[in-house]
Amino acid sequence: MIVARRKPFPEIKGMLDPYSRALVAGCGTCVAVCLAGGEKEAGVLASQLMIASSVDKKEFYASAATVERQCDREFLELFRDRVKEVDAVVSLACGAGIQFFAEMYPEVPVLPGVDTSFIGVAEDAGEWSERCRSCNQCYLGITGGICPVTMCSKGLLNGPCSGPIHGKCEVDHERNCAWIMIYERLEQQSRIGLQDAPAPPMNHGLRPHPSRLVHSAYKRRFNIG
Amino acid sequence: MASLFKEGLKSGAFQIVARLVPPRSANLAGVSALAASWKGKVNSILVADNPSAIMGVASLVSAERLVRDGHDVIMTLSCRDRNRMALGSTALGAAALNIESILCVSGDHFNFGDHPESKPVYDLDSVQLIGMLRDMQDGSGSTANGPTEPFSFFLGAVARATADHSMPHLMKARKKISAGARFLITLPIFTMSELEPVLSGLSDSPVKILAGVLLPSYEQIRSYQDGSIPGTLIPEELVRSWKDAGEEAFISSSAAHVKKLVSELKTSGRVAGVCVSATGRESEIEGLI
Repeated sequence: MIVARRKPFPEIKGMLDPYSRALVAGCGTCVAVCLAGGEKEAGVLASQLMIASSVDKKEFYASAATVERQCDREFLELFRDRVKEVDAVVSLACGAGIQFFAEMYPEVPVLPGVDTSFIGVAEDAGEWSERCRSCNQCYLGITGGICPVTMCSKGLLNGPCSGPIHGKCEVDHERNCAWIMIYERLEQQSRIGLQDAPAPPMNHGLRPHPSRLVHSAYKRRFNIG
Repeated sequence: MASLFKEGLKSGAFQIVARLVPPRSANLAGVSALAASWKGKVNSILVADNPSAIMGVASLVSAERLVRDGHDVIMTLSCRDRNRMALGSTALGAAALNIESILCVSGDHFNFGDHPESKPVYDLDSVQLIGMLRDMQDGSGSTANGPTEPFSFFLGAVARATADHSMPHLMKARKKISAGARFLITLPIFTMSELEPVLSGLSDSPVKILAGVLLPSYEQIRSYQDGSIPGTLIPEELVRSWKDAGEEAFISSSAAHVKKLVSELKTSGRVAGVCVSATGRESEIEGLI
C-alpha cells in the first residue's frame, strides 16, 4: 500500500490562512490504513482547524468527508456538492489522489494534508516500511524476494557496496544490508547461482515519468496498438 | 601513453600506490607539491573522487594536473554523483588526457558527507560501470556508440577484504572481475590475516590484488566506532591501544604499525602491491614506504 504521514498542523493551518470555508477530504484506502488520512483523521483535522480558528477569532468553517478512494473518478464525484460549499479543500489522500481531486475540481484550490512517503508494508501496529520503488522491471525473481532497488540504500543491482559493517547497512547501522540478506536467502534456497552473471544496468526507459499503463484487454478501447 | 601502473603490475613488480584526496579549493598547488614529494617513491597516485561524499576538486581535473606534472595516476570514478552519461563522458575525457587507469567505485553514501541532502545517483553500480567502460573501449555493447579512434582503459575496482560476511563481498568481486576489472584494491586492512578471505576466495583469478592500508588521523581514531569510517573495520585491540595512547604517542605508533604492515605486504609475495591512504597525514606517506 501507499504510506503517507499527515503534515504538521501549523503547515496545514498556514496553507488555509487565505480561506474561510474548507473541506477536509479523507481517503478510505491506503492512507486510512496508515492512520494518516482516513475518515477518523479527516474528522480530527477538521475539528482541530475549527478549534484553532476559534482561538484565533477567525471566521472559518471546516467540515470533513471521506470516500472509498480518491484515485477513482467515480468516488471523487461524490464530493461534488461538498466542493461547491467551500473555498478550499485539504485532501488527505496520497499525492496521486490529491492531484486527481485537483484535476476533477479545478475551480477550487486543493491543498495537500499529507506527505506521501512510500509503497510499503505494515510491520506492526503503527509501523510501516518501504518495500517497492515501482521500477517497472521487477528483480525479485533473482534476488530471493528481497528488492535491491528498494532495500539497498544505493539501489545497487550486483551485490553489496564495501560499506556494510557486521551485516548492517553503512547508511543505517540498525538496518540489515539488503545484499547480505539476498545472498543468505539465495544460499538458503540453493539458488545463489542466479547471481553468477552481472545484472545489466536498469532500463530507465521503462520508467518514464509520468507513466501510463493500459491493460492488454483494454487496448482497443483506448486505440492503442 | 600506457599506464606505468599497468606495466608495473604486468611485470610483477610490487606496486606502491599513494592515495591523494583533491582539496576543496580552486588551487591545485598543494596537490602538485604533495605528489612531487612522492616522486620516485610511489609507482602511481590514486586520485580520490569526492571520498566520504565530501566535495572537492573533480578527480579528472586533479588527475590531469598530476599527469602534466609527470606522474602516473589512477583516477577514481564514483557512481554516486553521475549517471551513465556523465560517467562515460568523464571516462572519455580521461582517455583523451592520457589517463588510462580508472578505479570504478559505487561511492560512499551522501549520509557520510557534507551534502547529506543530495540526490544519490547510482544509475550504475561499480560492476555495471566497469562493464560499460569495457564495452566503450571495445566498441561493443549498447553504450559503446562506436568510438572512431581506439583508446584503452585499465579498469580496477575496490574489494572488501574482511571475514565480516566475506561471501557476498566475494560474489561482488567476482562480478567485477567478470565485467572487466583487471586490478582490485582492498578497503584498508590492519593485519595481514585480514586479507585471507579475498586472497583465497579469488586465488583462481588472474586479477591483481593490491592491499589497502590506512594511516588514520587522530580525529578518526578518537571518534572511531565500527562503521564510522566507510567500509573500514579496525581491530578492537588496535583501536583501544591507539585511543589510550594519546595524540602524540598515537601519531608515532600508528605510523610504525602501518610501516611494518607495508613491509610485511611487500615481502609476503601474496599481493601485487599496496595502496596507502593517510587522511590528513599524506605528508607522512613517503616515510611509510
